[in-house]
Amino acid sequence: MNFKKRIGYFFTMTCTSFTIIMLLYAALSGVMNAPVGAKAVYALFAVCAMVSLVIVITSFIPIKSEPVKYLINFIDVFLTVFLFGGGVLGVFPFTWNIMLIVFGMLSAAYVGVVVVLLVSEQITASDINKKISEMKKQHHEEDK
Amino acid sequence: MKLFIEQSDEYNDTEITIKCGIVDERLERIIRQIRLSMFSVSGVKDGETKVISLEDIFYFESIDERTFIYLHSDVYECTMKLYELEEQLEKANFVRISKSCIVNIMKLDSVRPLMNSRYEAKLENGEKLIINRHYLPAFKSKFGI
Repeated sequence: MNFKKRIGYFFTMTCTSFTIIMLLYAALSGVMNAPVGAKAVYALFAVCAMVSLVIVITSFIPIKSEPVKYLINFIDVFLTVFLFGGGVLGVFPFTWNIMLIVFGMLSAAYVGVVVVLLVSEQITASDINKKISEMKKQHHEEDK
Repeated sequence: MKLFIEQSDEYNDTEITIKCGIVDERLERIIRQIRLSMFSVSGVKDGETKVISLEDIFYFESIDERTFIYLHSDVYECTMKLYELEEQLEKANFVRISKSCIVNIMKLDSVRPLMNSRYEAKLENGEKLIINRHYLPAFKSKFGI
């Protein structure tokens, strides 16, 4: 992946995860007893950006297995949210019920980001497949 | 587009000259096809050497510093290195898709995305190859994307 592509990935992941997390945070703020304030918004954005950065960095690790890559990315999310978000920034307290909610939120955000990225890649694949069909069609016509 | 063919005993070598104002997509395709027809590689199998036309090649693969030519259902060993083939085939219908593989795009059936910006290419014979993310921009540019 070239630098431009990595930057694109970083912004797509940050924006998508931030949107999902903010919607979930707003919906669950009553349950968690944590109002949606400016400080919380900035902190959540910092966590989302940090998660994206960690994922981009770990994408340099040469791993062939797809399931292992998904697992590593999920561990990236899990560790960054709990260590950076919970530990460094203090976005949430380390109580079992809150940690369970946070785990649910980060899982939802992770799945959401993966879906958005795959859809984007699928569009590129469709464009390539369309070109392949066109090339083959032209080639067959030239052969005739 | 006009096509002139001059045939005479005076000519020892076949020479193709294209005169044009601009190399458009159609002309580029013709040039690629000519390059493809002009170049061939030698492959060795069971001690026998065979000249293989590029049109029949699905992909080249380098394994343990040896280069192999993959046809529809045959595999030949090639004396050329992968980087030499890459240089020679740069303007033909071939593109490098990973550190060890150069594929003939005319033998592609379809592609599908995998994780981390990699793609899986399915060939006409059903074989599947991985398009590494590092080679993806070059691969896409072969299709004008």
